[in-house]
Order: sequence, then C-alpha cells, then structure tokens
Amino acid sequence: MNKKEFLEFLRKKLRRFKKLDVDEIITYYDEIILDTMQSENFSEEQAVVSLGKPENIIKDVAGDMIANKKTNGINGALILIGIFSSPVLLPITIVIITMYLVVFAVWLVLIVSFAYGSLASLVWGIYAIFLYKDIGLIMLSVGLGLIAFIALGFFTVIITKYGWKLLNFITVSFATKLKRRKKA
Amino acid sequence: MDAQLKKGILDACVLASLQKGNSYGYMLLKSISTLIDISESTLYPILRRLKKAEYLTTYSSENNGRLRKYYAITEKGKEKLKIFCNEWQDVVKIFQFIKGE
Repeated sequence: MNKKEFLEFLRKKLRRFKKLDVDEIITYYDEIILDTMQSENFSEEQAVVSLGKPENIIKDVAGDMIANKKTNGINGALILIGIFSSPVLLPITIVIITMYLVVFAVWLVLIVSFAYGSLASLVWGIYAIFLYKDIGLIMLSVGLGLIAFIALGFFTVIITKYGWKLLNFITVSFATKLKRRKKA
Repeated sequence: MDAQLKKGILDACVLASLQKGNSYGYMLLKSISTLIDISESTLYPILRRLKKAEYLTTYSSENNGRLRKYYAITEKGKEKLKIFCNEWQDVVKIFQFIKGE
C-alpha cells in the first residue's frame, strides 16, 4: 500500500466520524509517513508498513473517537432523511411497508369474518329453536351453531396471536436491517 | 505494562519531551519509543487529549517545502508535569509496599 492508498483506506473506514476530526488524523499520518521516509530513507510502501496493520490503526483511532463521543449522532429524522436519499433503502422501505399493510389487511379481514361467522352461527343456533318445531332439527341447529362458534372463535384467537407475532417480526427485522446499514 | 499505568506515564513522557523543546509527531515518537513502547496510533489520541486539556498547543511551520505540525507545552502543561513528578514519589512508596520492602 502506498501513502495515497493508505490514507484513502483510513478515510473510508472513518467516514462515519466528523470530517474535521478525520482530516486531522489524515494530516497526522500523512506527516508521519513523509517524516519516516525522510529520516529512515524508506519508500512510501516501507513507511506505510512500519505503521503496523491498518486494521489495528483503525481500531485504535476509532476506539479513541468513540470514547470521546465524537461520532455524528444519528437520530430518527436523520434515518428518515437517509431512507429517502438512499437509492437502495427507499425501495426496501416501500416494500416492507407494503408487506406490513398486506399482512395487516389479511389479518383484519380474517378476524372480522371469523368473529362475525362465529357470532352468526351462535345466533342462528338460538334462532333455530323458534324456527323449527322438530326437536331433532332444533338440537342439530343449536349443536352445529355452537360447534361453529367455538371453532371460529378459536381461529380468531389464533390468528390474532400469530398475526401480532408476524407484524412484530416484520418490524423487528426491518429495524435490524436499518441498524446494520447504519453500521456498515 | 498495565494499560492504565502506561496511559498516565505516556502523557507525562510527551509533556516531558516537549518541555525540552517544541517537537513534531515523528520526533516525539522517536524520543519516547526509546523508553517505552509507543505507536503512531497510540500517540495520536494522547496528543489530542493533551491539546483538549490545554496542556499543549500546536502550530504549523514549513519544513522542506511542506507544512509540519509542531507541538509546544503550555504553562498549564508544565504545571501538570510537576504534579505528576510529585505524585510519583507517592507511587514509589506504594511500589515499595507492593514489593514488600
């Protein structure tokens, strides 16, 4: 690695920090490399090698900056700006929000139909007592109505529970993706 | 050497080196590394911290057709170095206690 490549590597790895701080670090290493070359009669590459592993340098320098809390704080508004200015994140966000809405709509439709269905079966079972004169038909209607009520009620509970879990899962995975992107 | 102990000693080494005369990054490294292991990436945070605490100031001066950043100790820095040396006598006593003398 020559000096230019090394300094570009540093800048790339430190890009999440304040530009002013990074500029200062770049100037520092630029000067050290030039002085090392001059004093030791080193080539650019030799001088860069004498600094040690670039990964360790990043670790030291970035660790110090984090300790000094000099990072650019990322708040909600910045995330939104980031999403809307990113050619990759914006479509991803739209897709995820759409998925969210679709899951929510399906969930809502199922709950409403199952809830109404179970109530209707119950009401129909009771109504059958007055509708039919035959005790056998009444028993059959009330029985079927009760079975339908219990089954659909059970489905409503299950769908509410898992629908909620699915929505949570989508939200969490979306948030994790955002976080990872922020870190990268 | 213990990291915490080394941190304090390195600060004092940088200030002591500057008390002998203004210096720049590479020269500071050369003069301190004869005594204690120090790398470019450890020196940088120290310089930054000492500057923030106003123990040293910086200025740029042209050398061989390029600008070089020089560091100079301040009065506050000299004071800090004195305190460090005074505290060191206590450290020696503690050291003797640890060694069991």
